[in-house]
Amino acid sequence: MLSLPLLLAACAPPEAARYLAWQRAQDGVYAVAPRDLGTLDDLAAVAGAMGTVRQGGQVMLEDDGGMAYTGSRALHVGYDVQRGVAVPLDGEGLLLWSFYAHLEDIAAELSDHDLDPAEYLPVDTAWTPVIPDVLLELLPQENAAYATGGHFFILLADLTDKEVPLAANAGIVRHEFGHAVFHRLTCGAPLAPPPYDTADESAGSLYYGSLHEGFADSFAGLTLDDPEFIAASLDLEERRLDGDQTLEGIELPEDFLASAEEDLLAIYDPYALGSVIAATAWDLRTALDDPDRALAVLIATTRAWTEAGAFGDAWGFLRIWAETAAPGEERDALCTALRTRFGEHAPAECDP
Amino acid sequence: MILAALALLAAATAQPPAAGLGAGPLAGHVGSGEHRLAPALNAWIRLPLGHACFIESAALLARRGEPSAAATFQERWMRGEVGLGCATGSRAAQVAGSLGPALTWRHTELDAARAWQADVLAAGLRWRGGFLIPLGDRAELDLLAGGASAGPVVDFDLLVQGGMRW
Repeated sequence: MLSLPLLLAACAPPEAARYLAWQRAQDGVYAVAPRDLGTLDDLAAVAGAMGTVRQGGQVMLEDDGGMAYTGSRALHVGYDVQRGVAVPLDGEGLLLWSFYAHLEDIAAELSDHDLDPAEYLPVDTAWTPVIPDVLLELLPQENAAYATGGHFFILLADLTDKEVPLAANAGIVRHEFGHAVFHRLTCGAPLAPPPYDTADESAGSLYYGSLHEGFADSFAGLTLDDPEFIAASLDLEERRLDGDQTLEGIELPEDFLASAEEDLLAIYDPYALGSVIAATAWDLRTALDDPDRALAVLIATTRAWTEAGAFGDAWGFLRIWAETAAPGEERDALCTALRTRFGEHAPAECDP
Repeated sequence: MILAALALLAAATAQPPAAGLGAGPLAGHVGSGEHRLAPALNAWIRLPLGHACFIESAALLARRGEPSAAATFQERWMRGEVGLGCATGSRAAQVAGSLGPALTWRHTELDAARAWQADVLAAGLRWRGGFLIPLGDRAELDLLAGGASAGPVVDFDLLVQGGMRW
């Protein structure tokens, strides 16, 4: 019996200085490569200053519209250390380490965008939880999500093989982190309940949901300076930030609610309007050749829109966006984009 | 309870020595905390220990590939195990259970831009239970379910194994 603990101790992996993770190069190409341990204190449990990834458990809707994660278990990622680099025993371990690494990259950039990392981190992650409430409406292709009001991420296993697994894609992690930022900016605190219940299908709730998606896509694309931030995992032409999306042909919340009276199974697509908003933010980035400034204007707009307190007023968001842009080249560029993308819904401030 | 078990053992058919091969699915623990299925092969030998009990030893191999466009994992489980067990039942079929130590070697090859490999050796406990079905005097078919811990994690397996008695 005495030999057993000795054997286990002998087999414990040596200290690692780096670990393998999916990493994105400047040109958007992904590769598995070593990176510094950084804040990842516990490789087996995937835990550190960014938060802890836990597995199993349940994600439940709470009465105030937020979400809670209960009943989870600690992870045990098996790994070996080769020449100082921790190598995971399986793809799942690599995926979860990569997710943590992407969070760390985002955290290092938050203060550059006038965002306080302490307001967002640590943030825990639920890996493959049970989600019994159909109202959460996590569609099969949505394998990563941010739980508004609960302040944690949800990751599900990919249903199909992808070049880069969704949770290991820096753009997708940034998109989800963008939801955390938008929630914090509009609701005041990570754990504050969202302004609309998940079950609420008012026009205001649907517009708010589209702005959420538009902000999240903008955050991902602008912080990576990549209009195709999803492309390594998903071929979604309609989500390209440099695409030709306009309001024309898009089902707005009022149109959806009118048609939903006849089709009870209809589901509103928040990405359609959201992608027009994100494409507008990218237009500003292109005109200024400055992704940081384009994001700064969007963040300032979201703050001002929140102070105005009209969460359902998407057209008010566009007006405040135009007002927030600095007069001159910046506002002219944004107004050109708003007129091109939103047509008659472009704010009066942008009238030529 | 103990008396009843002893009575059952006393009535049991004596265990002949046997050895053979088996196959079945292994549900191997992966980093995410899930269990992924992999085909497993098992070589085993069982020797009598007293009237109704036995000592058995086995070597199990399992392999799972996880290819993707940019990174391919080849995972292998290799487990050596020893168990002490007992069986009871009739000539037609016996119920058996065993328990003992196991040593699991997990070997992974990761091919992504450059090649990496990981090897982890972990000791643990292994358990198994199921049916031993004689096929005449010289052969048997076993239907067994079990598992083994390997450090902090647990793998499960289900085996159909055949063997020769002597």
